[in-house]
Amino acid sequence: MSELAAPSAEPRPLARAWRNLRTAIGNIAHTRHGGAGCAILLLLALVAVFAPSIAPYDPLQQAQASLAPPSLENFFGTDNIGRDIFSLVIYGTRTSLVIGLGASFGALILGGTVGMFAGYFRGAVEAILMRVAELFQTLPVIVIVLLTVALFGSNFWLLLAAVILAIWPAEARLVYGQYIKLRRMDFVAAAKVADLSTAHIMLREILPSAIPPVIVQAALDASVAILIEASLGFLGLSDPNMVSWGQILHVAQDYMTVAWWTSFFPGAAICLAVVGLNLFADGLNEIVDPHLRGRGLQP
Amino acid sequence: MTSQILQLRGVTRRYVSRAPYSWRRQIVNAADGVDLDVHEGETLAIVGESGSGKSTLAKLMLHLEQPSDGVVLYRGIPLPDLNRQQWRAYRRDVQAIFQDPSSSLNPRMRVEESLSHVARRHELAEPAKLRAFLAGHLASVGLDPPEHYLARYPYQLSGGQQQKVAIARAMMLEPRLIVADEPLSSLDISIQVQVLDLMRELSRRKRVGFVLISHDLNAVQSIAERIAVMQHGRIVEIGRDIFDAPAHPYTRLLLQARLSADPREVRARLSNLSHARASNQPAEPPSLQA
Amino acid sequence: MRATSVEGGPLLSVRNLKVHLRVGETLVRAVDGIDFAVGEGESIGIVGESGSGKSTLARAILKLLPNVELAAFEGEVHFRGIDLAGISERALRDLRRHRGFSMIFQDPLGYLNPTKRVGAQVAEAIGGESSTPVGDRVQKLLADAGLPSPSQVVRRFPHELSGGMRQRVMIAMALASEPVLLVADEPTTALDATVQLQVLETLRRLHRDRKMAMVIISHDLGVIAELCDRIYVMRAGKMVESGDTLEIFESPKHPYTAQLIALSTRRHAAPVGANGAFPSEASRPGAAR
Repeated sequence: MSELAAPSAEPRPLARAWRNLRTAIGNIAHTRHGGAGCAILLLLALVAVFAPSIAPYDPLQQAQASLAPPSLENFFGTDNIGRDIFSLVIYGTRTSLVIGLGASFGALILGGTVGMFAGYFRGAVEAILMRVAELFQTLPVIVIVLLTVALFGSNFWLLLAAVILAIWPAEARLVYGQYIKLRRMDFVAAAKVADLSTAHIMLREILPSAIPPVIVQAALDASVAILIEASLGFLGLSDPNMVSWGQILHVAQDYMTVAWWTSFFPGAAICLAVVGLNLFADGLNEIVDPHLRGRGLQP
Repeated sequence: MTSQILQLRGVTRRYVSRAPYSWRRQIVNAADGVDLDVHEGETLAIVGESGSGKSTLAKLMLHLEQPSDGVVLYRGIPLPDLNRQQWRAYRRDVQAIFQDPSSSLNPRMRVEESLSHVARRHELAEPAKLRAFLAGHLASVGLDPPEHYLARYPYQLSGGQQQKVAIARAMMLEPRLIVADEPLSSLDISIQVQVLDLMRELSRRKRVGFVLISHDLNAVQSIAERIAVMQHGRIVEIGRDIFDAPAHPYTRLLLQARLSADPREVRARLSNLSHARASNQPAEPPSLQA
Repeated sequence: MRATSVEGGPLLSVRNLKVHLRVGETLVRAVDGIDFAVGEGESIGIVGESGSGKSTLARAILKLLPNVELAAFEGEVHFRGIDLAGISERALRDLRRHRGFSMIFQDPLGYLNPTKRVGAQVAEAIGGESSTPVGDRVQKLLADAGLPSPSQVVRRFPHELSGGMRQRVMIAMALASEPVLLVADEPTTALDATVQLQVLETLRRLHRDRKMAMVIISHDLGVIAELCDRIYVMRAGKMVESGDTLEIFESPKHPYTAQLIALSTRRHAAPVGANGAFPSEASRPGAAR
């Protein structure tokens, strides 16, 4: 095998990452749960992206008969002010997915950074950062959001921030544990002896090995984020300008006994999203774990 | 005047731990007032059993840990006092190889990437010539064809190959001293011999010194010029001919505990045993009875 | 005890054993046609490097291989005349439980329950009747295994003990069933030299006093030489040589065996040799410190 002729046998990092991603998704889709999870998420993503094309009505349009049961004109029926619930649920998918992914990503960045520093440097840094994380873990999110909304009114970014603040400590703890374990390994010592910079060690040496359980947690975080957002919407705290599943439930709670469809369909949508994300996380976990256990750490 | 690349003066490393089921805190001196000189170019072995503190000494020499008391000096300057330039010289001059070769290479990087980071950090070659540079060093430790190994992940290599990559990584920087912390204990005997031979040859050809830390006296005997014996964090004996004329009782104990595969010694041992069986007596030297 | 011939049929006989494992997508012929036999009260050694298949062999004959990895299992394994390949799970358990065979492994910490005290684990190995006689038996077993002050060890957790003591606990647990055959897979590899000697002495004493047959598996020729009357040399799943310990050491027939012996002893070579590996003393800077 003569590779000396080739200038570099290594594809560029970005191309390699993309290829790894495709392989990974393929692997996930083949696991028992991952395949179902992928299918559900794909469905939700398509619905969110093509919402304007799929939804038969403008969701906020109050044109139909109020509290009409499901029919051919209104697949999911209408709510108390005549809005088509099917369109509401379709558009609500957008909000939920954005919040779910956005909050998960935000928690990953915030929690990941905190955990990384706490786990790598230990000592005083660890003490301070992990106490802060514990503090946030004990804060009642809903109460805080209530206060903030009462003071500043509700908007989307506020809600997103609230959800991120609720879920970042779990991510931080996970990354912290990974870094504590990995910083003791000989390849980190070797990097120090080779005078590689601290930033390099934290990001290029340790991070790739720390990631596998972290992405599983991120998928679960997204499902938690969706649930939190739905709770906040249900309590009436969500941004009135945006359609969200929780918000539909907020309106529907007064009519549960007379118009079951107003709460059933948004509830089912929430269920589907959460289950889909959990199944996806299961699939992720399966491809991530046996590698680690079988032949020592390997990509 | 001899040149010492590293010196340890009164080096102590304390760990505070709590004994199980007790509130009392235990202070363990992993290293206890150690004085040691490492001469330029020499192969010094540090032997002892587990818990003797020899690995701690390695970490202290590499500045992976700091002493609780005492000082480690590089070319006469205490490590904490090194300025930027001296620090870079220290990090080039003093390199390391570790015990478990599979964890001393980053499992998520191919060999080429692992080595490139180090090479680029120290500007060992221009980017266009980097690959050839790395290939050359892999070949010099016996990994041939080097391109084959550059493309591999660590898990695709055997323990001996991984250890050779680690040696290449250390040698790339043209160090004056390599601290090897139990580099052989994870390897099969035939591979141990290869790695020992490699170290011996590098010592001769490149005039690089070794601090070889090992619990295996047999392995050390074939390569070490000076041997330090450690027990409970202290050096109890140090010298050139501890194998022939051990002075300290602990050294004698270690020497006696060696098992031999030499046919003549096996014959002596077996006939000793069969005589013992015939007369129904235990045959072991009384000093080693539990 | 040197059994020059195996009278009345061997205790353990293995014929043409093949064990093929599936690792990922590759087929590994871990054991590829092995014959060997252990007589009553005999001590044999199986020596080979990593990857030779020796550990797989040990687990295979004691039926300790996980089914998932097994691609093929052929050949005959007879223990006291009983064919182990065909017997039921229960019969196998009975064999292991009393006057059968036992096994000890290289890494005791991985095989002991970290959350249970040592005494409880040895008691489990005995068979779990909760009455005072068990307590006495536990201490006797620990003493037999060479542990000083068994009454104190009984209360300890595995991680509180040193490596050598943990290995002896495993030996005690293995002795609980009063085995006639003990298989030891790298019993002293993780231990310090002085502790290794003590554990070897314990094994030798048990072999002598209990007339217990032993199969010692190791890559360390020194360990094998200490304990075994006969040796089998394994390489890449096959036996390349077998015979009396002393004869093999003095005149190995197979080149691989000769190489193994040579490599083990070569490490004793003096530093300043005729090949000029080291520069002469005169040019070496520095006096001894």
